Amino acid sequence: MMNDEYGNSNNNYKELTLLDKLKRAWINEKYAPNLLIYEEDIIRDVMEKIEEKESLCASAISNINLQFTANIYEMEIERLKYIIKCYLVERIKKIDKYYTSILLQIENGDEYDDKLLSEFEINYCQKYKALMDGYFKNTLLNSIPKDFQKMDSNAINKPFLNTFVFCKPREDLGDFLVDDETIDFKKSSIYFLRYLPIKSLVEGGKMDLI
Amino acid sequence: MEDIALSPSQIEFIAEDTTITVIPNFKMESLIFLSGEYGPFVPSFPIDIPLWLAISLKKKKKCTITPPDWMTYNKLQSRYQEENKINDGFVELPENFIEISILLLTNCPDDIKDINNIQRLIENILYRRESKLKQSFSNHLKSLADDESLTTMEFKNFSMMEINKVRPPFVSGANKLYKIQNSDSGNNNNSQSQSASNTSSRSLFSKKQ
Repeated sequence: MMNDEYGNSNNNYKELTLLDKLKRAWINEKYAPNLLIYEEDIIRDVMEKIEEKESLCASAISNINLQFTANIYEMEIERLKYIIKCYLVERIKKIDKYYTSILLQIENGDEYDDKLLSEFEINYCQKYKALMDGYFKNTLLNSIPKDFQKMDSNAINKPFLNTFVFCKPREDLGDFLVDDETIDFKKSSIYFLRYLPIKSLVEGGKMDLI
Repeated sequence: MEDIALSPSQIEFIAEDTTITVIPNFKMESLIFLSGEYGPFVPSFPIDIPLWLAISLKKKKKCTITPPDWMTYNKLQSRYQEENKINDGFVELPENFIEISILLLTNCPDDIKDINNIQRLIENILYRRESKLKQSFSNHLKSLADDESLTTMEFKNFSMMEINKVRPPFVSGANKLYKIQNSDSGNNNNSQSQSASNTSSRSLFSKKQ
């Protein structure tokens, strides 16, 4: 039954396997300067598969005939866990860096921004902010004049969205206007350009960072 | 500490999901991975499996690996000659050819014919491509007018490992250039398009009919 769901891998995006999607999520998160939406569905599906396979392995490992197969599956599980770990670590790094701007984005944002963080990450982000704010107050802010004590919006660490990135369209996208310049995004090419003009394409899943 | 790039071993890890043909010497039922179904394994019948599994089986002496078509001496030789002929652009090679060839050369040298020549050819191809890439970047910079901002560059047939190698200098260089140019345009009023594109690039970004 798994074959129907995740058939053979193909160049066509529609037939991407769950593994490909997971890897793309990781790499995009790695190279995007801002925090991308949490890939809840992908992570949940992969975790389900991992648990399913882990329980199968646990029962098979005692059977001497199945041990060899179980070992192979265990290797696959370890590989999947590694990718998930890398993906989550990338996100935590960004949260540590941009926690205030992320929380502001969620507060002021639309529905899209609600899905930015997973439940655990929201929790983490809020606690982290509380700790950092407390730390700044205790060490510095309380001992300087009142006028300077306020943390205004200029003090917030924001991602540098104009950074240059390498990207690759998932399909032929046709002509787009990037900084007064028309670019015909083709699937077969790799582009080196600023992130901001293609931000919505990456977030919309039409473009991959590489 | 280069935080902006993946480590080479991580790129190798990604490439290990590429499928490769092996000839097993044991019998086993199909394996169902997240990337699809592989098998069943029948002795001396070739089968396509992910590279990481192939290498692990090879280490246990349970299969022989058939190197991919492009990794033969003749194919690589003609690729190398082509690579030398064209000055702009790169010859088409599999996306992860560096990682795959390195993994195969280190893990199953006994399955590859003419291994020394192949190793040398791959190194030559890599050097040639790298120097071409650097050249194309510096040509691109020279082609810009003095205060013109860096325009989009397009590459073809360029592998992830190669991108990763040039990423730190490319990205940090381009970012610095961008910052310098934009701090200039903030002070002068000849800034025309740059500051405009800065503030409203999202709305500027519209699909042309």
